[in-house]
Amino acid sequence: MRIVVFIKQVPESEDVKIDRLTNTMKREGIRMVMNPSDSTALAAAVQLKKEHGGKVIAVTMGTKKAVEVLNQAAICGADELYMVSDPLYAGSDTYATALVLSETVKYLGGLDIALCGRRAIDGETGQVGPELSVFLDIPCVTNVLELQLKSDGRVRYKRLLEDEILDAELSTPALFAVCEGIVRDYVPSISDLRRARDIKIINITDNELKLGGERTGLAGSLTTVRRTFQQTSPDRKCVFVDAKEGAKIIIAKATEAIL
Amino acid sequence: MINSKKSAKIWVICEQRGDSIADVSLELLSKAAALDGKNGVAAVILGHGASKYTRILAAAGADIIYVFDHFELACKDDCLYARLIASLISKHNPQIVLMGATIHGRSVAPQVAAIIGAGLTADCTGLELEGNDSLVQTRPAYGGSLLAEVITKNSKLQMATVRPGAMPRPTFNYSREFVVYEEEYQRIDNRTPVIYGGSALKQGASFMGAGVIIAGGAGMDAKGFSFLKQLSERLGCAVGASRAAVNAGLAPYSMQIGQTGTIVRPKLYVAIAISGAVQHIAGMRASEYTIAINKDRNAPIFNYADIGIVADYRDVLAQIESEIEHFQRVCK
Repeated sequence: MRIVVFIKQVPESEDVKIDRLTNTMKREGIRMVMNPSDSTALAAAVQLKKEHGGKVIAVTMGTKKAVEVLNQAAICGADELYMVSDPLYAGSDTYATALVLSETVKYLGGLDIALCGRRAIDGETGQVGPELSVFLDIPCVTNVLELQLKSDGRVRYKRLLEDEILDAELSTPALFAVCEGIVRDYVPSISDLRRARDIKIINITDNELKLGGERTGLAGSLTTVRRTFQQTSPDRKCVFVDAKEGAKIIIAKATEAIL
Repeated sequence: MINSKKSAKIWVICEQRGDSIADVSLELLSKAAALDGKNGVAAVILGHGASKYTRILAAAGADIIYVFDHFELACKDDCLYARLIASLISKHNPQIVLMGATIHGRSVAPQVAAIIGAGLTADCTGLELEGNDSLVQTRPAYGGSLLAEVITKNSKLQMATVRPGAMPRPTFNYSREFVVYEEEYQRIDNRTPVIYGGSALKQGASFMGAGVIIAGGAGMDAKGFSFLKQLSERLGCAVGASRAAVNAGLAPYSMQIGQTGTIVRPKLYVAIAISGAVQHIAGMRASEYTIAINKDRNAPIFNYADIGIVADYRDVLAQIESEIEHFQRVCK
């Protein structure tokens, strides 16, 4: 069984500074981490492997710095590591990213289960998973809270909706985009560290995928950020009151808001 | 006039929710009509019994309504919906397709966009037309600390999902003329999931349409959270939790508010014993009115609050309790 996990490196804090010249985020000085829900997806993949066997294949797309999340993935139980990076792919929107990732999967020989996080904390679109599933021609389920592989190869899952938790089942291959924290992050042991050292990161560029520059990167993107600006949120002037007064305000405001 | 038109420039993919239409779908129909009513607005609705919603869709702004009504569509299978919507779009070529940024919408829209090859912007809070044809889509980025203006390029179709409540409330006119097209549904394949059932989130545990959310942090204990639960039943509000509280096992993930949970924008947000880490702020900063309770006068949550109470949360909860009792006595 081939379980492919898609992970993204993101800035840890969204307390970002904007470069006024380029309208982009200043990356220096910000710690980069594995996107939280991707980290959960990885833990879920490793758990599936422990229960049913198979291989966990970690794929990331980004700048060379993103090898850090692949190294982390190896320590947490991934068996194969792929770094998709090419100057042609820089600036890809979700559509172009999903296209590159789907070609990567085809290049690697397909998959049985695809796992990713429900959204990245930097872009917050949650679109790459569903778009990728279309390019791979497999069904996808988003906002997954729980998943179990059954002996007949089908996956039983729970999906969190706005007003209910759905209990359902789907045949594989399929893509699941998971919510944060539904599986505890894997705590590596010393032997995991040793094992991880021997796993080589394999680079994938456009030499392998042969997509060219027109369908990828900025040129292949279908959306573009024209400008970014600071949110002008109404300045809140916090008025401090004591507990008794505060309780009165809470009840009054709540009554007003509900009515 | 509109009736002679076979197509519309702006489409809204509407969502059936329970026995009604999701508010965000109606907000988008009214918004679409306000953006460019002259060139027509179409609504697409799928589901079992979907035909019965045509009047309200028209009243909110639809001139044309495409209906897929079939019992096999009852389970709202995102992948199936996406393929039906994509084939309908390919037939009529609208310029703009909008959908609510609900969990369903944020799964269906990207699949439609990928099938068609359309640019899609997620979770917009602002939409404007520029020069008649170009849709300027504004969305929060980086936890709401930035706004990004996004436009579509290299794609004739411009798509966006729009955050519920971000657009003005819809206006209804039940005397508008409209045309309904019943679309034929044919099963595509057998990839549809088998649904065993759904367990409704308990009253107070769903943020959908919640005007008031009272959220607790890790500074609270289980007793505090059970008090919040009682309070939610008495006041009819929802209960939320910070990530730290969820991690501490005080509340389930479905109640988590913040960057790695749900983003909410109620009329009133009460943050109890939540210090206000940036990740939490990202999930609640758009609330209309915020009241924060914390022991620490310097907790960052107070920078985002209208009213601050520096106190032990237990004291405030006790005051709320007696306030409610007083209120109920007066009402009797």
